[in-house]
Amino acid sequence: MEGMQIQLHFPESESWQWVEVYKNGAVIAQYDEQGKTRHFDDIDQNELDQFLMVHQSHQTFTIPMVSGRRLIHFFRNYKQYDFSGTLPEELKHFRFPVVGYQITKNDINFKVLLGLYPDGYIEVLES
Amino acid sequence: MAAATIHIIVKYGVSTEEGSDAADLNLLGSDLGSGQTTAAYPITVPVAGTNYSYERKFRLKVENIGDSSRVQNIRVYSNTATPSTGCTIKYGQQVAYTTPVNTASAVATSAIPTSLPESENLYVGGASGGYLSSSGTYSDYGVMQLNVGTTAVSGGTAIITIAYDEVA
Repeated sequence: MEGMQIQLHFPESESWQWVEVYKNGAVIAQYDEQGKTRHFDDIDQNELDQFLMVHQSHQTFTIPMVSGRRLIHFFRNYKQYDFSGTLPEELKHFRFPVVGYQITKNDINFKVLLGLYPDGYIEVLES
Repeated sequence: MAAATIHIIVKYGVSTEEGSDAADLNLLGSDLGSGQTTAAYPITVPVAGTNYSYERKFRLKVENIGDSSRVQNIRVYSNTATPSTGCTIKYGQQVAYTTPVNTASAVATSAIPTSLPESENLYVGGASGGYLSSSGTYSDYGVMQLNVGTTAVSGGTAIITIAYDEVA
């Protein structure tokens, strides 16, 4: 990200966003000034050099798009219910972005997934 | 971005579908919707064999797809498959709704997973790999049933988690 200048706008509900860095030097943030999101299918993975995830605190990590890596990004949601409807409100729904990549080696698919929590904590996910 | 609004919709009786997100996912001795006082609808402990709750049927509804492109990879699990001694939560899925029964379910036949399953166990359109991409669409039905054995102890609870992935 050295030398890169880009203004990031975070919608109120989002703590993280992606930044696409292309081989031709183009840099595109996930959200525009109005908070409108790009879609995952808008990303040109063939021309992508790096995929960055940036937290509101400016904490950043990079996935270099080396040959064969197929990018993954989605929002994981957990909705929880008990038998009596008495769960605390904060346990009823939790949502966070997940980023990673898949690569095929010797006909076997390997997947790396990282859960990105609102406070900046990052966790490797099994699936 | 505007996240997708997903509701878990309970359906019961011949064809009564709740209009909003489930208040709970209870397992009762009567075929009723969510939001009941569970103690009012007990399942009796059998002298021999197994007694059963009514099947609890639910599905995901996309109330508003928001800025998302699709909702996929739906997985259902519980923090326990045995909410109390002698009681087991069974789980399965079906494409077409049928009236819940309080005999042994032909759908909810496996103990509910107790951690996030590696692959989908609630499909869209009857097969894995499906997804929801517009408001007003639904997943298939998840089906749970409580099996109550002769050693069953009253009380107990479980937290049922429905996990899904939302692609921007």
